[in-house]
Amino acid sequence: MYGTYAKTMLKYFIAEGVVCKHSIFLASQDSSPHEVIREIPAVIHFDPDSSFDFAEPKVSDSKMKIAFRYENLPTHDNEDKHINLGHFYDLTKPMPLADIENTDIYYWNGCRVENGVSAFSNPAYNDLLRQIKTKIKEDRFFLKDNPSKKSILRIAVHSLGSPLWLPMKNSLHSVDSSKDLDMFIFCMRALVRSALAVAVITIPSHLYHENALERCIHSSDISIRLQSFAGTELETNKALSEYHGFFQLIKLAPINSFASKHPGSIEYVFKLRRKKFVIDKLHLPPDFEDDSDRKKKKLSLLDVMGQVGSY
Amino acid sequence: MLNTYLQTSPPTKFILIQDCLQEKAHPILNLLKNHHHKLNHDLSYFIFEGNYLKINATLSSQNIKCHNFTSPSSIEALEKDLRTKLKPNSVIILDSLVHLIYLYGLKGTYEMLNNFMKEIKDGQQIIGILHTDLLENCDKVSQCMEHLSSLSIMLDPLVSRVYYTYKKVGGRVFKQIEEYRIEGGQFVTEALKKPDVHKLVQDKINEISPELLTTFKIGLTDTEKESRDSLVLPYLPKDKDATTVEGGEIFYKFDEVDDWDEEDPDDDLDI
Repeated sequence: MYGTYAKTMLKYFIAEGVVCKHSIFLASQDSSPHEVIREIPAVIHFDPDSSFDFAEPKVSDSKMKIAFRYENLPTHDNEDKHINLGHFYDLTKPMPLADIENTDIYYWNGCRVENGVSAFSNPAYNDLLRQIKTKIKEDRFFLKDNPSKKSILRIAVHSLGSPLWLPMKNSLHSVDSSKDLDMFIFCMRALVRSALAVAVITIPSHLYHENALERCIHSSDISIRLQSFAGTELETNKALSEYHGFFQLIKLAPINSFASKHPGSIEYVFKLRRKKFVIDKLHLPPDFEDDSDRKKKKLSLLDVMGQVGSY
Repeated sequence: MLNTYLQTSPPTKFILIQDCLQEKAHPILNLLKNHHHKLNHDLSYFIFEGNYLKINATLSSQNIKCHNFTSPSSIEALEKDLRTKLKPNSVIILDSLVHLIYLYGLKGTYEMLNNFMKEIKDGQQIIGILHTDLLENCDKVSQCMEHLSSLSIMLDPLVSRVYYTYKKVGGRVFKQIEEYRIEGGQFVTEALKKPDVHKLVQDKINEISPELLTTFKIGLTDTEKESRDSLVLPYLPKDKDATTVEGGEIFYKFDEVDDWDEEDPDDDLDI
């Protein structure tokens, strides 16, 4: 909702790049890229809020009489919790400037965009693509360059397609057109595929029609939607009260494989806590309260029917 | 709740009021003006529409500085003027954003406001009025402006409701709908009362009386009910004192277990 959560995720992406000493290309028109860099979270060496331990799953002592088949099984699914990937970050602390200064970061804020002839109605799109291409070329990130020391260029584009990316006033395109955005993502994918680069783009999806978003999803490899509960009926749902929104994996392209790793019907939820952005599997709680509610409803309905019958 | 969000401290950075001809933004503006006057904030009113002299005369008496933009000027000049008026604890009212959009385009206006927002510090506020009925591409424009605003208010005079979205600095977003009315020039809102579903169903059922659905009489009047209750069926044992019948008498003796069925008195006849 309004790009807040997406911006937090983007900060994690940049912070991971800084920690892994990758090159970073940061583009944003809405906020100053320098400011975004200043806000990236500091790395911490353990997860302070971690509630699970990495030890062997505990086996319950109590004997099961009926569901004995489940007796020795762990109480929750631990398979994906053992993966030790990436680092932990603390959102309350900013990354020390010394770490940032040692990283190769290119900032793009769309201020010095030249009005040249291009297929885009807003020259900013063209300029950004050109700058990314120059960066890839100059720092030898193209696959054909075959660099001796392999590194990755992390491209982070914040709030692409926000009103600042609208067509110019005298453009022939209407403000409703998403042609520029579609074309940009299409070109970007081609560019990133041919280089040692990975791009994360955040889009304020509430400003676009579903059809326009579908086209963007089609041109992307991985698509994630953060659907906030704010202002919707889900906000008052007791089962979801702990969380801020759904974390939907819309698309997970099967790159270099036949099968997609899309988790299928599993639903994920997210919450933005003070120190970290948490993504959890959604487990619906037992339906106790609803059950009593339903009974009440049934009773009152019987009452009502009884009254109708007595007429 | 809306009043709380309108009068937060430090003030919300960008308040967007979306109004229309039937319900203008003035009651909300008056509320905000009074609030800022109490706190001794500087109010600057940028006028893009209407008769400047008239508006200036009214607003000057209320201690509000007016700036004439009714004749078109370049966006750079406007931006420069806005910057010079931005002092600590100052409030800038733009009346209205539609005129800016027609003059400088949606992108130009948004860019100008966005740049301006980056410079706003705590204690300063921009209030923009957007006449939704004057816009060609109303939905898109209002979405874009709402994206930039920290508190967006939309008035719907048809149902007397106000829709608002408030974005907290921390990132949480609140979307609410409230009922509004104007009492003695004051803008008053109150939370929507949620009707009890059970009560509504009950009321509806009480409304549908079977008597009204039939062409014949289906119910009983009170007197009829009374006489029905007082009737003693002949096969039931009567009060001995009351019976003065000579000769034969029927004695009905209930079985010990499960003999009498209210719903089907002839159950024991095995028909």
